[in-house]
Amino acid sequence: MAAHQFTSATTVDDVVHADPALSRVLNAHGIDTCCGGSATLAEAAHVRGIDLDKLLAALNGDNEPRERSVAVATAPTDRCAAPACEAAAPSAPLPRAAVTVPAAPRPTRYVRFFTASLLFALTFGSTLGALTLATLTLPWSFIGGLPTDSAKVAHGYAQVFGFAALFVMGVAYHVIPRFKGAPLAAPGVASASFWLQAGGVLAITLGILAGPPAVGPIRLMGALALLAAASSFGWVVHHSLAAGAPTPERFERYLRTGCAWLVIAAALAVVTASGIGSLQPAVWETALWGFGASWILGMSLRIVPVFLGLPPLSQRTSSVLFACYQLAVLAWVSVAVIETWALLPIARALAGAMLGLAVGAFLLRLGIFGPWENRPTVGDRGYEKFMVSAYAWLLVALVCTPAWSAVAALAGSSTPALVLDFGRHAFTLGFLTQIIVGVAARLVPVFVGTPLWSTGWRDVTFYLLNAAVVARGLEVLVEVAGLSEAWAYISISGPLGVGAFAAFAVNVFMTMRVQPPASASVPTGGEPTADNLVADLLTIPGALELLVSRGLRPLQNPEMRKAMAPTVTLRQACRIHNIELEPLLAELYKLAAISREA
Amino acid sequence: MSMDKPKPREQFTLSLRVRPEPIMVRDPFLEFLGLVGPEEPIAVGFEELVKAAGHMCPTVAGAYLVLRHGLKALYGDEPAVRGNVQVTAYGGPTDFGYGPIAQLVNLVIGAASETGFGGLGGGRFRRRDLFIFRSDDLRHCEFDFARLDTGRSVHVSYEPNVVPTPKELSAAIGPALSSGDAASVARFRSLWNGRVEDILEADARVVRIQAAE
Repeated sequence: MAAHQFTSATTVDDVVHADPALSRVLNAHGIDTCCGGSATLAEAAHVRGIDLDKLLAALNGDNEPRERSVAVATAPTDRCAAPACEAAAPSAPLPRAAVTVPAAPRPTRYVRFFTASLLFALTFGSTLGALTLATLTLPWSFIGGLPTDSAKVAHGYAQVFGFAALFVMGVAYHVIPRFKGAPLAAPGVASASFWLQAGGVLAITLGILAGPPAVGPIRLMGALALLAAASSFGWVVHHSLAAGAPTPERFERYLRTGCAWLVIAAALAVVTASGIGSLQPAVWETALWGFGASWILGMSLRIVPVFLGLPPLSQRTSSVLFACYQLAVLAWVSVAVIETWALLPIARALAGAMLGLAVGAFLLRLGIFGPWENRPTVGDRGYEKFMVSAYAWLLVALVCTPAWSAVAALAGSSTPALVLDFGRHAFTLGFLTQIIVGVAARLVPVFVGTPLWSTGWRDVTFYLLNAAVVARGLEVLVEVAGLSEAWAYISISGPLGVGAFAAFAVNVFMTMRVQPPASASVPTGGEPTADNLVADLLTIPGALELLVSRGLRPLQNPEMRKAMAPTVTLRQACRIHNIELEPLLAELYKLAAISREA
Repeated sequence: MSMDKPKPREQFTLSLRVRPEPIMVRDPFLEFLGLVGPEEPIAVGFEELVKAAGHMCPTVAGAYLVLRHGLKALYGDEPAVRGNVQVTAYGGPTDFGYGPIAQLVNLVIGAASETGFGGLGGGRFRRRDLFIFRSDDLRHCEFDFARLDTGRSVHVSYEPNVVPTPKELSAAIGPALSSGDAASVARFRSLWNGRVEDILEADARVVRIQAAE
């Protein structure tokens, strides 16, 4: 029996004081006995991603009598699950034989969300939208007997609640645990939200396509499913965010509020499906400016400064902008709902102006259009153009929707329908979709642990998408300049948009289907190479700290380490994180040499 | 906008609430080379240890205190003599902070492991093998200091936990390292540097000197 009984509350210092020989057991688990000694064993195990029970068993000498000093130093310790813990036997040379990387479950929860999202976009979303647009602008019908108004609604649900919302949900369920360093709350509820959301969108679109008399009840069921999905999504997001420490960027409140707006949008969809069809515009305003924009602005706070090397917003500025933006959306949505029954031109003007100012101020402070500093010069930075272009389209959407609406209300006239339509597509296609595509091009390789399947297809997506929005902009010329001969050409926007979605979908599917090797050899002869898996390189004592200090900061997070390290090579990790490979490899080589000599 | 390059810091001075006194040594090899005068003492300040280590932490503070009190036990008020002191650490180079401590010991008193200076001629001014790692006898931050000229030796142990560690320190490390935002880093800095200052302030209370076994 061990002389001491250590618990999760025992500090690392207490352990080494009780028996200095146990410092080697701690070292073998990668736990710092020097500067990090004030942590409890539970904290140290959490940070290192170690199984606490196994650590306590090793320290308490369960199953075998423990002897002092060297006997402990040479005794094998239980392997923990985290790749970093492969740094066992710190003073021993690197293992030479091939080892199997600990079987870490591959995080694939996002896959079904992405797949369903893209399927909706390619069927009832962009494709149905393109056919409807062609029907409206050309002298032929491409949608059979389906009324164009119904087709537009089905297209809208598929794009907003199918494509965008499902994609956002997939990203959220994957990244929030990594942002917060805590597991996803209630994975079962998260799974349920997928089926409810996908089923809800499918029911609504099929119901609309089926037409009367089935459309009413089916659409209502679909809307109720959307409401349940939004509520469960919000619940999971809220509790997952609450599990970790608050983050300084305060992006979390945008995410929480965005979830609340999704619930409101779904509730309005239920009311709309119940018979008050005139509320449909309010559903779009809520879903786009409330849910979509809140999520994107919030995520922008978290990732845009990192991706583009911009300085983060100060907390005070961030708080003021958040309050202004949410108040503006509240006013904008409220006016949209009330105007179903009574026109409120002054209120609409004020709400539109507030929304424009709030979003404009956010963009100004974010600095997305300003000079970027600290721009890394290495690696593929192809996602930047998506971001800049997306925010440019957001400005266009601001001009064409809330600002134009405000001016029209003050002038005592209604906003031109074509301008509103373009504004909405500048938002959905130019901003929302483009951000999703750009962020996906940056994140999907990180999720999967391989490079993007094709940067060429990514760039094709960019050009097609922007060409589609530009073609859609002909609506403004027709409406404002009376350029009626341009009317037919608006339909070009449809195929361009479908092409963009198709290229994007192919790229995402091909990237996701890559199967990283489940096992690999540790560096034979102790020489790390660029094509070693990061998990293997972490077997070199000190490699974790080195890689983190050189920019692979996600490895600090045990969740990320478990997910990423066994699936990505050093070369890929350097490419993804814009780190120069050769100097890092040289440092790893030195570490390995030191380890061999120890 | 162009920014002026920061000027090199000629005098590395820390802004601490305590002022650790420098360790006084003599270096016969420096004297032999005429770089300092005969028996001219050299002051090695805590700042130099921080500068050499590249950081300040309880281990750096420990190295300083162990050296100052260990050498004082051997030499009294006289400056210790570089190359004349053998230091034994109870543990291997990767145990606790023995590796970094060995580098600081080398800086102050010259004692080094097998990588040290081999000496001139018949091994004069030799510093090699004057730092010994007792990998076979692991203890927590314990050292032997031995004077080669007199044979006198003392056993020195370092116990920083005599000074309580702020409970918040452990929790502050993660946010400072992961998010790196100014507030988290400032909080961590304050707690971390405060802990070191507490140890320096405790001074001899964290070091125990005994006659060597």
